[in-house]
Amino acid sequence: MNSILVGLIGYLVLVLVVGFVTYRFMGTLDDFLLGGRRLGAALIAFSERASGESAWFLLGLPGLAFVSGFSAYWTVIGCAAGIFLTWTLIAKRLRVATGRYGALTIPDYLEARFQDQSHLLRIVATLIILVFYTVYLGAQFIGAGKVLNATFGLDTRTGMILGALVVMFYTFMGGFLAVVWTDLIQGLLMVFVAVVLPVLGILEIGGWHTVVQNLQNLNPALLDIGGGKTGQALLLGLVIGSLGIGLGYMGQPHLLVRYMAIKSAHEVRRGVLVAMLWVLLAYWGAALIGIVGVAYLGPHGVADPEHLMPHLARVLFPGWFAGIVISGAIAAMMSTADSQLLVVTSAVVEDIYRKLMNAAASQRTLVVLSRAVTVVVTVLALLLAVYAKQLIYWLVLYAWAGLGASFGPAILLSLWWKRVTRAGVLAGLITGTVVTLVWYNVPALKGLVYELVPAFLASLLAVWLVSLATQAPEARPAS
Amino acid sequence: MSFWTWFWVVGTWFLFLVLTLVYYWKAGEEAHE
Repeated sequence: MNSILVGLIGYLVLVLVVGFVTYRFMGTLDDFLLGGRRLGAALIAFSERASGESAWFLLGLPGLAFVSGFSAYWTVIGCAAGIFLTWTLIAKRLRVATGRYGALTIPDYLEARFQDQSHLLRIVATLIILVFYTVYLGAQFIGAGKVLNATFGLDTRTGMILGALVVMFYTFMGGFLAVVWTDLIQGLLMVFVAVVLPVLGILEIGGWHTVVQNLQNLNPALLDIGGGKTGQALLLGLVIGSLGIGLGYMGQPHLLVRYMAIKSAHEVRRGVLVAMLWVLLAYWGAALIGIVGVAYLGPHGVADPEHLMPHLARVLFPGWFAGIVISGAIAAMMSTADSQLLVVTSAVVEDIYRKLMNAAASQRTLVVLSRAVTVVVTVLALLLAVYAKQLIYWLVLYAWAGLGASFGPAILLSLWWKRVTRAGVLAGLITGTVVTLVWYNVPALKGLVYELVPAFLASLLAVWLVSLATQAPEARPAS
Repeated sequence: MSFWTWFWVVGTWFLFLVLTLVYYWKAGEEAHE
């Protein structure tokens, strides 16, 4: 057997065992969707980090640094800032508010926070979640197929099905608990890869001085934080656009629900510490993989920059160990896909079925239904991934920015400003989505700056102005 | 490597480390009050 495959199989067996072990802990819908809100902040922090970074983290980011050198660190700084702000501005207040309301999902929270008896907020928020996340999930499966094909030589479709089945199995068995414990394994593997690979690469090249010397000889712009750009292209296109990526973290329901699952608001500070230490090691390391890669292999060392990480692992490590390192990319994909699968499940079971159709459903029925929905959604996303690839490619372009710009400002202001109204939040949800779509499709605007920046600001403005223009809500502070 | 590359790459790393530790410490103090 290919020795690289041994590492992958070891990883897959481990996550399947977690599925088996967590099966018997699923008694209520609260258990299935939020782990009964009994989980420590450190564990949740690993889960939030692993879920927050898809395969892009170990393939796309090193690829970006491989092509553009140190200017890729603007993206790293932007993401770190976004993660820090989301944890410090949103986590604690959202945990307190959702605990008080008994909310299991973000639409639950919005409806309770604004006492919306018309269910309009719930319906709009749930629709946005269903569309973006089903597509997002399909994109993760496509990613799994590509990664398994490029790294282990599996047929692309077989890789997609294998990735989808493994994620479906452990999510079906252990719900949020299985997802969080597998996230811990996946998050540890991701940070391990992001630290060990560049460090060993630097040693192999002959030290940091040689890395810098090689880059200087190849192209001095690789060493420039401005990437050789000047003026508007530097400020708007590179700096503001890259920093703006981080705004997306505030509006991702699959990450926000993790804060809701921490066992107490006092624990949140521990979550901030663990999440940020992970960021400082893993994010700075992941970009360094690309820097070391180009210094070691040269700019034509790999045909596709996104294949750099697996290629470097194969060059630097023995087969079985390279297999474990390459599994980091599969882990990054799975840890995102499982959380997204659970968010779609919660949208169907909690937001539509229980809250709009059958409020008296028993906990046992809800858990059984959740498991069934997990299977149906996986199959649907897999079918989309196989038969509607173009639709997924088209929609997923908007997913990060669309979710970030629609939910981010609404959630942020609803937690910090008592004067926010239901109409203000609705305006924010719609404005964020629409500005993202429009900005992306007008070439002159798209070339100016990443669409999330104007969409987030427009959405923030919409929540603020429409809230001021509509009647103040009855006093019901979030915290 | 230029000063500005070091400044942004290494400087922001330490900035986030300090901000995180300050938040952790302040939040701990608030919890005890």
